[in-house]
Order: sequence, then C-alpha cells, then structure tokens
Amino acid sequence: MRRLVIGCLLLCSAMSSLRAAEPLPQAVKDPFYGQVLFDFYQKNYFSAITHLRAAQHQKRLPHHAGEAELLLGSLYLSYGMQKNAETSFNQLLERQSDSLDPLLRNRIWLALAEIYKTRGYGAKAEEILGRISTPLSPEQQDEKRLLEATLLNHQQRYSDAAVVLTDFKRDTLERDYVQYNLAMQQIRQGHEIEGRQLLEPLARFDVKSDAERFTFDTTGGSERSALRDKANIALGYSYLRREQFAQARVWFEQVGLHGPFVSQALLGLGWVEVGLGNGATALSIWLSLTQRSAAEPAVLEGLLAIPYTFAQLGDRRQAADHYKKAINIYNSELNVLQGIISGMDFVALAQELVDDSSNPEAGWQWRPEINSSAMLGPYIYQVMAGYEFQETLRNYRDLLFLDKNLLRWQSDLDVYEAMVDTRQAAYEERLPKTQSVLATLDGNSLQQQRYRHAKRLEDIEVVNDASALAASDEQSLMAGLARIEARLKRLEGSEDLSEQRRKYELLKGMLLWQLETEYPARLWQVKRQLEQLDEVLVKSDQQRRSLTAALPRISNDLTLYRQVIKITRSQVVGMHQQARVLVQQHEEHLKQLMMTALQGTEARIKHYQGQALFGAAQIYDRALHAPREQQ
Amino acid sequence: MQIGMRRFLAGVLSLLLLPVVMAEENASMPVVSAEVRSLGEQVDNLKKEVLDLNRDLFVLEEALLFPATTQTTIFLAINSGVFFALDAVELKINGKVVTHYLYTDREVAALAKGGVQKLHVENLRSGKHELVALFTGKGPNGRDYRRAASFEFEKGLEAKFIQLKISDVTATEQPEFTISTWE
Repeated sequence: MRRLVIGCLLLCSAMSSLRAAEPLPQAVKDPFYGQVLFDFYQKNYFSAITHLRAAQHQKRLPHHAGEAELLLGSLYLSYGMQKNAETSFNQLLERQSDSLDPLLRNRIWLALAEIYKTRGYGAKAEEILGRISTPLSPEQQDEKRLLEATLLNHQQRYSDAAVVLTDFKRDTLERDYVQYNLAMQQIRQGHEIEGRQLLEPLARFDVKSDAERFTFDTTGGSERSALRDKANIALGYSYLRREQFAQARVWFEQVGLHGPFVSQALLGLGWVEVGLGNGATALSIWLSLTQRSAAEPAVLEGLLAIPYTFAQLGDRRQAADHYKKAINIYNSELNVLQGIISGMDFVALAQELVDDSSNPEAGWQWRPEINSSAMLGPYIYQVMAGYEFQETLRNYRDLLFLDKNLLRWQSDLDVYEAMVDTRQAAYEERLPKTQSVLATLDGNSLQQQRYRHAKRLEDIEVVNDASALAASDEQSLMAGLARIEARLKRLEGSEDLSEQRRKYELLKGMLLWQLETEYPARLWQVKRQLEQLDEVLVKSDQQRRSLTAALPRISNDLTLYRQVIKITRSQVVGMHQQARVLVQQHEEHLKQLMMTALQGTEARIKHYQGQALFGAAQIYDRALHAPREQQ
Repeated sequence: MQIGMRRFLAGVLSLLLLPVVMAEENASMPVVSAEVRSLGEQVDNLKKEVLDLNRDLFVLEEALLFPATTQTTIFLAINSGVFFALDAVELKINGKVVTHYLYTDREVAALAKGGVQKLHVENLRSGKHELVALFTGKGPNGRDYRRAASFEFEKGLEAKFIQLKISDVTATEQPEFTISTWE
C-alpha cells in the first residue's frame, strides 16, 4: 500500500484540484501500465482508459494493480466522467479503506467535489465534501474552503460564504475569483457595502509588484490583472449607481489602459463627469471612447451618450450631427449582424472551434480558443466564454471523436470479418494434411524407437562391443575382411596362402585397433546424440500436443470471433446512430445559443437606434419650432 | 439638466451594468439548463458504452492480429534523458526495417515522466531472431547523436515483450541504450 501512496503521491496545488491524482514519475514494472501513463501524460484520456481497461482485462498489470485503480478513477475524472470516477474511487476506497492514506482519500474527494461543482451538481458536490475527514493538509483545507464558499454563494448564503473565505490561508487566484463572485452576488442583492468590502482588496491588488507569482504582461493579458480591472469596474459602477461620483472616478481610473475593460471604464468615467457637472470633460472622454471598435457594447452606448450630452449642453447642431453619426453606425452594425444571422454557417463555425483543438481526447478542462476580434467574437464573446456554450462545445467535440472512433471500428470490423473468413478457409483446406502429418508424428512410436536405441547402446557398453559402433565405411571394411577370411578358409590347403593371411591379419588388426582406440569417444558421442534426441523428442512432443490441442481451438476461436464481430457490429452501428443524433442535437443547441446571443445584441442595438432616432427627432422638432417661438 | 441626465444614466446602467459588468467569474458554480444537463448525461452514457466497446474490440483486435503464440511487442522507455534528446528510432527485425518513428515534444515529455511507448508489434515464428534499434537525437552538448543497439532473442509460444531503454550514465555523462526482454 505504501508503494501505492508513494507512486500516486498527489500533487497538491491550489491552482487545480483536478491535477490531484496525477501519478509522479515512477519505475514502471509492467509495460502496459507504462503505456497507459504514456497516454495519460499526453492527455490522451480516451486511449488511456481503453488501454488501462484492456490491460486489466488481460491481467497484464500484476505489479501496479492498486495504482491502476486509482489511475483509472483519475482518468475518468480528467475525461469528465465524474460518475464513473466516483464509482471507481468508491470501489478503491472500499477495498483499501484501512490502508489508504487519509490525505490521498481527501484528495480524491476534493477532486471529485470540484468536478461536480464545476458541472453544476451542487448537491452532489456538497455530499462529496461531507465525506472529507481530518487530517487535511493546509492546501487541502483551502481547497475545501473554496468549494464550500462557492456552494454557499450558490445557495445565497452570502454571509456564511464570506466567513468561510476569511478563514482562507493562502492568497490564490482561485480564492480571488470566489471572492469576486460573492461580491457580485452581494451587490446584486442590494448589499452594496458588503460587496464593495469584498471587491476593494481585489481592485487594489498591485499586479506589477506580484509579477513573479503571476505572469503579467503589459497588454493586460494576465488573469490577475483582468480580475483586478473587473473589480475596479464593478466598484466604479456600484458607486455610480449610488451617485457617489467622486468615489466612482477613483476606481474607474485604476483600470488598465491596455486591458480588455478600458471601454467600460471610459463610459463610466464619462458618466462620472456628467454627474459632477463636467459635461465637456465627459464629451472628451466619450469621443475618445468612440474611436474604439463599434462592436463593443460600451462604445455603442457611448455613441448615444455624446449627442444626448451635447443636447443637454444646448449645442443642438453637434447633438444632431452625433445622433446622425450614431444612427449610421447602428445601421451599419445591424447590417453586419443581420448578415451574420442570415448567412452564417453556425455548424461549420462550431466544427472550426473544435478542429482548432490539437488533441480531441483532451479532457473536460479543455477550453476552445475564441478570438474576441474574430468575426463573431465581438458580438457573442460573452456567450461563447460562458459555461453553457463551453460545456456544449466540449460535449460536441467528444461526440465528434466518438463518431470517428465508431466509424473506424465499423470499417475495421469488416476487415476483421474478412480476415476470419480467410482464416476459416485456410484452416479447412489445411486441416486434412495437418492431421495426417500429426498421425505420422506418433509420440509413442518415436519413444519406442528411442528406447530400442538406448537398449542397444546399453548392450554394446556391457560387452564393450567396439565393432558395433563402427562407421559405415568401417563396416564395409569389416564385411570385406570377413569375405577375405571366408575365401582364405575355403582355399586353405590347396596352395600357400601364408602371405595373404599375414596381410589379412594385419588389416584386420589395424581395423580392430582403430575401433578399440576410438570406442570410448564414439560411445560418448552416441550417448550425447541420444540425449539430443531426447530433447528433440520432448520439443517435438510439445509441438505435436500443442498443435493437436490448437486444431479444435482454432476452429472454436474462429467461430467465437465471428460471433463477437456480429454482436459488436450491431452495437457499433447502434452507438454510431446514437452519436449522430446527439451530434445534431448539440449542433442545434450551439446554433441556438449563438443565434440567441446575436439576436440579443441586435435587440440592444435596435434599442440604441430607437433612442438615437427619438433624440434626433426631438432636436429637429425643437429646431423647427424654435424660430416660431422666437417670432 | 442633472435630473434628466440621472434618469438617462439610470436607464443606461440597467442595460449595460448587469449583463456585462456583473458577470460572475469562472470559479462560480454554473447554472446549467435542463437541456444541457440532459444532453451532457446522454453524452456521458454514450462515452461509457463506447469505452466498454473499445476495451472489448481492443482485446479482439489484438487476439486477431497478434495472437500470443506469435506476438512480439517492443516497448520504449526513457530513464532521465539528460544526456540524450530523442528524435527518432528505427527498428530492424532479422535485417528488415519494421518501423521508423519520429517523436513529438509531447511524446518525449511523456516518456521522460515515466510513460512507456508501445513502439511496435510484430508476429514472429518460434525460434531465434535479431532486433536492431537505431536511435537518433541530440547527445551531450546538443550534438547530433546516432547509436545502435542489437539484441538476439528466442521467441517461444508465449507473447514476447522487449524493452528498449535509454538511460543516462552519470559517470561518463553519456547516454546508454539497452535492449532486454521485459520479464
């Protein structure tokens, strides 16, 4: 168990609970576990889950069984399958509840609660948080507080949420986000003072002095500086709504000039100046504001504020000119918007956003790159950056991946079926020949032959029969000598054969000498050959048995493969149809979200346009009646 | 003028302030519409079914394409990687090139963390075989580096797993390339 804890030591980071279950680099003992880690470290979560579950099924993780279970839960979590992650973690905890490090157990619950919270399952997140027990590391305590504060905020228990936040020990961006959200809720509920108290520390945050902790760039791109600007804007408008103009100005002036909220700050500053009776200063601010992109809501608003202020200052000509300019810009923006609404291929746009993702298996933390300066960006950036759009787009991306995966299996299954058919045909063709070869390789008869050879060798050894180990040429010589001997016997007495007999004896002696001297070496050689024969016979017997056993198994396996392919194909087809339906539903929903946002923008611009037309009409009306009044 | 202006201001702020300025930040708990929640649950169910199916098909595919009696799998692992930055590996089995793999930075990073790549799977008959691996990359001091390692192995009736390993030898400040059977 200690190995499990060390191997999967959780990376405690307040920046993301979901990195919680990432295993540390470790010595891999099972190659297939290493393969899963290879996928996991590349964020190929779908492949990692598939490989891990296949390896578990094939019992290929004997050294990493415990870690594999924890990793599987983490993979489900990373892939956004919180229910499966919970089931997996529950099973792990049930099996290893006594031996599991409490810090590790708490890390699991924190990670799970985080994903439930982020996906909008508040009650479930609360239930999971309730499972957390002491001890908690300081980082875990802070993460738990953040989650609790967010849930309390969601339940409109703002005071309780604020109390939880005051207990927070570390200064992190996540904590500041929660604080900002709580402040917004307080202000919305009319608790301006409480809300401002929460916002002020965020708005005063000195980004430059903290550059080492948070990447800061002068274009205002860092999250920290953006949050600071948002807090300043919120404070500014809070004071503006209460007509506390001097205080509002202080906060608006803190907003970064190069940040994304400068337009809102300029608009607010203009109203501050109006409130303080400095109409000319307000006009100067708003005129600079209207140099910015007309797609920004603050700029559209500023276009309307300028002629209104001119009119209030009594300059009807300027007011009429600026109303006209505003009306032209509104018309132009409406034309662009109506062109987009009627002509835009929203499905293609959604696919483009998904295609930009370099890794289609990246988990639920994936965020599409939405460029606010792109064609649709300025109009519906807020919607595209919102949870509903992002969640739908994430699911859409996963569905397109599943769709491709299922399509590939459909085509692969066709190939596998053809492969099985070919193998079946080859099997049936080769079976009779193989069976006849197997019949000739009768193990018993081969063994009997081997025993006969061994017995013969024993007999030779008992009597030291060197001639029995004669080579074939020596045997020919022996046979020749025997024939000579027989002839000599037959001719004995008829003539003097002493010379021939002497030669015969000499040759026979030489041959016997050779056989006798080489006998020990030949005997050893033959014994060695017999041992080698034993090895060959064992191997041959194994192969014969293996082949004999494999023959019916091959047939069974082929039948089984064909059945599995048939069943699986129908499953693949069913799932693919389901995926297609869901793809279409997601495309429709994404389209609807974008359309609603565009139509909302259109309605807002029409509202401004209406006000501008009304304002202009009033100016012309007054101008028309002015000479009569003068007369 | 002030009264008129303030009335106008109040109207404008109600339009602009709430949707734009008062939007919550991303640490908040989202309010999820029933439609998105229902779609999300359907997607999760489908994901689960497809993952189950993938596991079964993956096992079937391996059984069909690389049965254990002939399967030889070659894995690659990196231990540290300070003295060698891997670019590519070429594998030859019995003199024939069977794979040439180019690595991405992401893959090298995953290997350095302890991931193991399933580099190649081959069907081989029982008996003796020779594997040669040619590693290319950057060696110590960023110089081009090519090294080969060879390995003779016996393929039996069980699946064979072979490991290519790149390690650092601190004493010589050189990389070491080894091939062994993964027991």
